[in-house]
Amino acid sequence: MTAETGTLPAGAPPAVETDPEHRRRRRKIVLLALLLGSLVILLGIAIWYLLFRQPIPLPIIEAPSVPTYSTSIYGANDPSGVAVTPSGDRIYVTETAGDKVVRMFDGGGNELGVLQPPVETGTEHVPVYVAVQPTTGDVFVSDRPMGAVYVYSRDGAFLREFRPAIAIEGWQPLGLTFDAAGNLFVTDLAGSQRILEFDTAEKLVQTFGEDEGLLFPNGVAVDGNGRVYVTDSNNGRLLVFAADGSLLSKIGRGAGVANLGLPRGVAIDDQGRVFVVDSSGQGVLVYAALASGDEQPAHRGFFGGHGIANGQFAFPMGVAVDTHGRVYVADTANDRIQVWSY
Amino acid sequence: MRRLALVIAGGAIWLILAAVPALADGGPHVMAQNNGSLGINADGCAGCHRAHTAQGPFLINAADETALCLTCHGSVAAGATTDVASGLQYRLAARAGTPLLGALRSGGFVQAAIDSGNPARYLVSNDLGSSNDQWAKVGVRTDISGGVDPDPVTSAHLNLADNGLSAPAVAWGNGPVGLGFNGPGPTVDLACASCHNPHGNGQYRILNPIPDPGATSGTFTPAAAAVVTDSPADNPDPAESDTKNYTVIQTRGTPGTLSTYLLYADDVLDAGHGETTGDYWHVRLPWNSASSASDAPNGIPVNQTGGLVAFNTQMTAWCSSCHTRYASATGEEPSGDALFAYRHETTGNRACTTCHVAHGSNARMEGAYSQTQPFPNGDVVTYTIGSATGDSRLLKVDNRGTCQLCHDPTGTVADGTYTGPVPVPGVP
Repeated sequence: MTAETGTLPAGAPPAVETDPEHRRRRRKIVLLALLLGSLVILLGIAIWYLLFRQPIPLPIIEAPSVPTYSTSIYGANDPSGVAVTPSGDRIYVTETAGDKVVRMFDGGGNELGVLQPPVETGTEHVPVYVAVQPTTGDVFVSDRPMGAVYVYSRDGAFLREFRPAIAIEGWQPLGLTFDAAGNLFVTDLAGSQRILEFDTAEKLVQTFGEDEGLLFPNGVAVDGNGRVYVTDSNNGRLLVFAADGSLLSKIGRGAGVANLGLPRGVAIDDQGRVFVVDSSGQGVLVYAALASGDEQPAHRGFFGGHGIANGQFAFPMGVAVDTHGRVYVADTANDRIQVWSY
Repeated sequence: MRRLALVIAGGAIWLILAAVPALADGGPHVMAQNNGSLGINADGCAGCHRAHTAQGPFLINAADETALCLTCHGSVAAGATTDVASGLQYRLAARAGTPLLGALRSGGFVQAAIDSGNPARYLVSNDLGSSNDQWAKVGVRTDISGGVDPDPVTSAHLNLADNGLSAPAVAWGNGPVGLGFNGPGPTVDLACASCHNPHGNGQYRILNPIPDPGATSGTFTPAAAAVVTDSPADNPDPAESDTKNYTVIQTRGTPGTLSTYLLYADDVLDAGHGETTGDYWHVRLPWNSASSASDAPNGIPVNQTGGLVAFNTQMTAWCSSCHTRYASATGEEPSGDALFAYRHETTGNRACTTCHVAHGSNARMEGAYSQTQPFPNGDVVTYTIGSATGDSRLLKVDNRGTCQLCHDPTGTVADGTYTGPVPVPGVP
């Protein structure tokens, strides 16, 4: 190597080791060290994962708080009440103008027939609210001017007038519903307005609500715990009674989203959702059934709004639910039943 | 001392009760807890109003004021005892009989239960010019079962989808005398609150002192009307003041009492009268040759202050604040108006409500002359009115039978002749 150029002189041997065997051995050692290091790291990760692993959370899809509009059923004039079989294959609608009868539809909205009031009523009848007896399928209809409840078969044949085992003179039945066992609950407008409960033998079991100053209670429904929900319509309240008739809770009028204006129909589905129709609020408020320890049913939402378009209401009244998550609302002034679903 | 305490306590109770408006005139929307007299914690406002999300004027939560009223006062009567759609009155207080109390004096906007095809009279004088003594009766329409039988209206003060009417929305006769043939009246937009105060005002049937419909063409000029006051002889009975009977057609009470007509729902029931009793023709009530008593619809006996004459005068004055040129003291003198040149007199017992109802009538105009009768502006009916053909102009009797209830133009009918159903003496 010369100092001037820094290059090797011609014919001089290279300065690095040139033994191929030695170089292979050294490569193997380096490779082995790398593999061992990787193995240690992987083992460490595995041990760390086994010691500290966490389940990976799956995404939870929240159930919607309110249903969405599905369709409408036309054919009844000024419908006020609606009832539906659990499967949704029969829909009964009370008509308060025109012929003033109860019209029966199938699940597709096709009219199947008419439930005629007794002949002796002449023209003096206005069916208002309707309920389906869960164990027999019979259809119960309240009639405002006649002050009566009429009973029809599932197919619409008139069977009889509902007569309590002990006659109630001068009662004015309006809202009506059944609990799962087939006990009948009726709101009575006469005198001190109240709720009457009858057992399946049509014997009066109890009356309650007389002390609450009820004013035109239109709707009544029973939840899975036997609690009775009553719309105290002209007082703008929803009252919740225990099975023994004692008052548990109430929601009143006011400016809050959970408050009511003119509550009419009420229904409770098998998911414990409480649907309250607000006639002057032009829609339906949804609450959760009253939970133990809660002061009021929790408000879940509202659907509707005033108008004639699909999904809008004009002074709705009655409401019913089936077991498929469908909600049927009597859109009274729009002459239709709106069907909403989850 | 104890006596003094009792007097003070009694006076306090009386004052409290006096402060509570009577239901029919105060309106159920103004109950004690809402009118501020017992504290400013009104609860009822939210039933009809919204402060920031209102859909209609006056902050009501509906674009259609009439629809809002009908949601309680409609054919379901789901929130009221008064069904102005079918013309029916319900009762609540007593637990006896059926819920129906009777037929509304004013008829209904969709149906009315006026027995318009079966009126009756007892002829006292066959002189066309002396109609004062004719006793007429227009009862409640019943069906074969004997129950109240409302029939579709053939005219109404509101054109609604449910009644299918589309009469000209003209305030006939409104305006000064002398407008000529082209001035039948302005077109107006009527709603319930044009005539009634939904919050109550203590006036007869919560009527506004002056009706106030909105004019849609022309100029609406309401004439000042006499204030319709309630009866000083009216003696509200708080225990029974569920429904004043003058919202329904009158039923006769016990002769010899302050009023021979029953004022309260419970009185009617206690007297054993049914839902089909009463008489739309209130000028001569009851229709019975054995009695000539004729109290006013507000219950004041005929010859007392505020009785029938005063009541009729007030009623006509009230109607005339819209139908100005219909009011007339005589039918014999020309008015000076080209269109309304001669008018039937509207004084005395010829009040507007003698022949007409306010809400709607089911009288049928199928006669050749009545069915083709044009409106004052010359319009003819172009819409279908059930199986009838003519607009009944809110009259109580078919065709122009209203005229015959007072007049015998032939002069051939003998005095004392009953025409139509003969009443049972003593029964309204």
